[in-house]
Amino acid sequence: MTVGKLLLGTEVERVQEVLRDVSITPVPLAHPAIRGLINLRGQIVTAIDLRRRLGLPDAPADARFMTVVLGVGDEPLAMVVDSVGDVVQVPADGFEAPPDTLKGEARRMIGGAHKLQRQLLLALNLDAAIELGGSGAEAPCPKA
Amino acid sequence: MGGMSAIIAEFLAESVENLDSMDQDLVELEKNPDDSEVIERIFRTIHTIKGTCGFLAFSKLEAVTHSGETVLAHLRDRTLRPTPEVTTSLLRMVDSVREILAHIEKDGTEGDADYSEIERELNAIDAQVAGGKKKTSTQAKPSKGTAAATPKTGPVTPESAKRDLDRDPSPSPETPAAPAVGESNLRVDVAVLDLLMNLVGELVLARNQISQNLAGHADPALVTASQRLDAITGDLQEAVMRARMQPISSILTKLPRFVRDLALSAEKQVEIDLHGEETDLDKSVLEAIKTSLLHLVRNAVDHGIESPEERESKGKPKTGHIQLRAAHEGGAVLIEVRDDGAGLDNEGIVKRAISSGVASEDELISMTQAQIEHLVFRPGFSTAKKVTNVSGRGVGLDVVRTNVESIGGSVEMQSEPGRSTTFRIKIPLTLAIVSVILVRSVGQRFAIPQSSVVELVRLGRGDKDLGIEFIHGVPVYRLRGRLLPLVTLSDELGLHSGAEAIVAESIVVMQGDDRQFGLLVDSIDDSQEIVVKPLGPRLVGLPFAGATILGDGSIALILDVLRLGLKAGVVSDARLHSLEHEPAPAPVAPPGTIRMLLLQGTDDERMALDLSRVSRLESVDRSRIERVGDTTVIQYRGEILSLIDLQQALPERRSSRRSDDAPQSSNEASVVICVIDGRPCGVLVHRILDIVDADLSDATAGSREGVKSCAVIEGRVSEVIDLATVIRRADPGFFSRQAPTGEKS
Repeated sequence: MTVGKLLLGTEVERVQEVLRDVSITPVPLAHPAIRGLINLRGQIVTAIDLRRRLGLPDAPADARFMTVVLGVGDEPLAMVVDSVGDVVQVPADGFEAPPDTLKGEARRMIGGAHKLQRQLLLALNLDAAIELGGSGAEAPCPKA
Repeated sequence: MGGMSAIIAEFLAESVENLDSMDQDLVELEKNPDDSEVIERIFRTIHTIKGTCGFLAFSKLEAVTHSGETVLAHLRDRTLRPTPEVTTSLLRMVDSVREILAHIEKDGTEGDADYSEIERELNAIDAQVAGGKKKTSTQAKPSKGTAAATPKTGPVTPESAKRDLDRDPSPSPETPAAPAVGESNLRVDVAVLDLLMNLVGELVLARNQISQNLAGHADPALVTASQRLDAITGDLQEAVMRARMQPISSILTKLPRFVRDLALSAEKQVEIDLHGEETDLDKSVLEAIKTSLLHLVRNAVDHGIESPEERESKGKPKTGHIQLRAAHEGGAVLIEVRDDGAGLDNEGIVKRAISSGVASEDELISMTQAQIEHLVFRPGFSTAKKVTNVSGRGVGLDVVRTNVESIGGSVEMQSEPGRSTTFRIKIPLTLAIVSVILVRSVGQRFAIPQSSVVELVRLGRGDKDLGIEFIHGVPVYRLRGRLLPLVTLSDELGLHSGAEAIVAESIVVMQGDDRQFGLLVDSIDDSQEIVVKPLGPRLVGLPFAGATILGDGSIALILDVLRLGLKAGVVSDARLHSLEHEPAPAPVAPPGTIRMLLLQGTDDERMALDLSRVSRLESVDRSRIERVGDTTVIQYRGEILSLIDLQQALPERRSSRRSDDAPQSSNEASVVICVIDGRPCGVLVHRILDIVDADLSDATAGSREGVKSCAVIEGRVSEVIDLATVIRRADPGFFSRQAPTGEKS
């Protein structure tokens, strides 16, 4: 998934589906990282904005975005990102520590990085990312 | 052994239920020793259990229940009175039975515990009663064929039936012991009911979609079919909701015994009264609040209610009372636990908060009453003067709150020091289908539960503030003579970015707790039936009770009226300033001063008006000011109100007159509505500054007509206006015109 200039990855098993152009209803007074609610075939799912979560500036208002629906326990959760790419297999030995340029909250949510041909794929710790107001656990080694 | 385990499971389930009733009944019996119905019930229950465990070869259980049954037989024959000791022993027997049953449930065996002590206890009681009356001791364990009480087994054999009938003339033990419950009940897996509920919820949404899309559709057959769908869905939803609901009595039954035991060990006298036991709750919710209710009751006995001596010395009856009330209210379930004990006073709370470290002194100083009361819910707080082994340190309130909030509810405490403490738990009916009114604010739609709405008021278009007054800076609306505090939804929710003009057109009058307030919204759409979907755990603590999907697939948040009201300060803290009187703030100014309305003129000069003449302060759109003949008027609340421009009514002090086009700060004009001689009159002023208590004792005479005197108010020289003169100057015919009441002057 891309968020700003960052390429992030997370375990594909936890991704339920990817949606395009969903309508998000904002929730006033909610945590700033909560973008709002979406209607997923009759179920109301909370959508978290990954940009905000990582402390990145908001995308321009008219920018397109994609929504990743995750299965979290028995409650699905949605995550808004700029775009979603392919599923990739990364070798376990390509795993490195996160780059020093990442600070604070973002650092807690990124477990490490994989060197791809042209880019660095950051491993997103999903549990940390969806845990609002909390710090993340240790990042598992993802294959996504 | 499949068949056997089913029988055992059945036996366990029923016995557990029966034991709960027995707890209640035993406590009841203690209070009313002569109630033969209760004795019969208790006896039957134990008898049934005993019989069944004989059949299932649970010998320990059989022995314990046998001893119990013996004692109960004496009670039934009235050769024994249910004294506290007897009752306690019997209750302990019930506990033992429960313990054994729990073991059986766990691993099929009766467990290793030794119950001979309770048996001895019971046998001792038996022995005390007429020494020789041991008819029951001749009957050792009944044979396996007896009293096959489980419905799955075959009928009782003739021999065993006769034997039982000899001993016990009560009705055949074939039917389960639970008296009132008929045979038409069924045990259903909760998961199945959950599924049913979800499906019905989806059906309602789909129905809404169809209704919406069919509105105005031509094909009559289609419309008819859709209407049928409507009706059927409605019935189905009602039925399924009923299926999931269980009366709260299932958790309340434990309470009388619970309270009795607690009271005994705390050496107090406490009784509990239960109301609204038939109030239905969704099964999952019941489970969640069970422990919380126990906590609250325990707290009440342990910390709320005083010892009998203390109560007596306070003039209270020796026996403390706990009232537990459950009811449906506004799409939620309200449970109230109230004790008539010592209450919690602010001083005690504050002291304890500091000593237990849950709040700092700085924090405490600026707290409102409601916030202080909320301190008791903080973890680590405890008002226990004495740690008892019954309820520990009075902890649990923070746990209660967490539990309740995790199901989307809320808990509050109110206390009258020395008299009572009340805890109120409110739990929304999730997965409920409720009627709502849809409103719009800044383009977003919100749903308000119909049950919280008292009425709808449509304000005139474009006259945004007409009828809206400000008291102490709080916007209010006068509704048929009553003052209604107002809350602007867009403000409360922070909806607008600030740039757009606020266009609020309607007021929804709502009821939160026992206060009414008005919610200012942009527009009111229609009313609909919607399915309440709970918000996830990340969205708790907000003034929303849930969300729903509307017919067009969009999402609308459902407002939690009480939370919104609390947040806006119009509920609960409205205790502090009741807005039910006349707009003139507290009629009594400090002695020697007069309450004045301080005004500012176009030249920054100060003027003051006696507030007792002022009936309202309004802000009106300048475009509404009209001229009629020589007078300036404005249409106000259906009447024509004379408008006097204060600035122009006073003779100029300076030689050059300020032009009429003095820069106006806005399109709005400040109008002071006064009543003089029974007639209303609007006084257009440049700026309203404040309401002050002014000391006019050192006032000097005014220097121009229309000014009564000059005084120093708030450090500035101000002219005290003589209203009557000013009016006469501006509008000479004012006092001779027809008064608004229709009487010719």
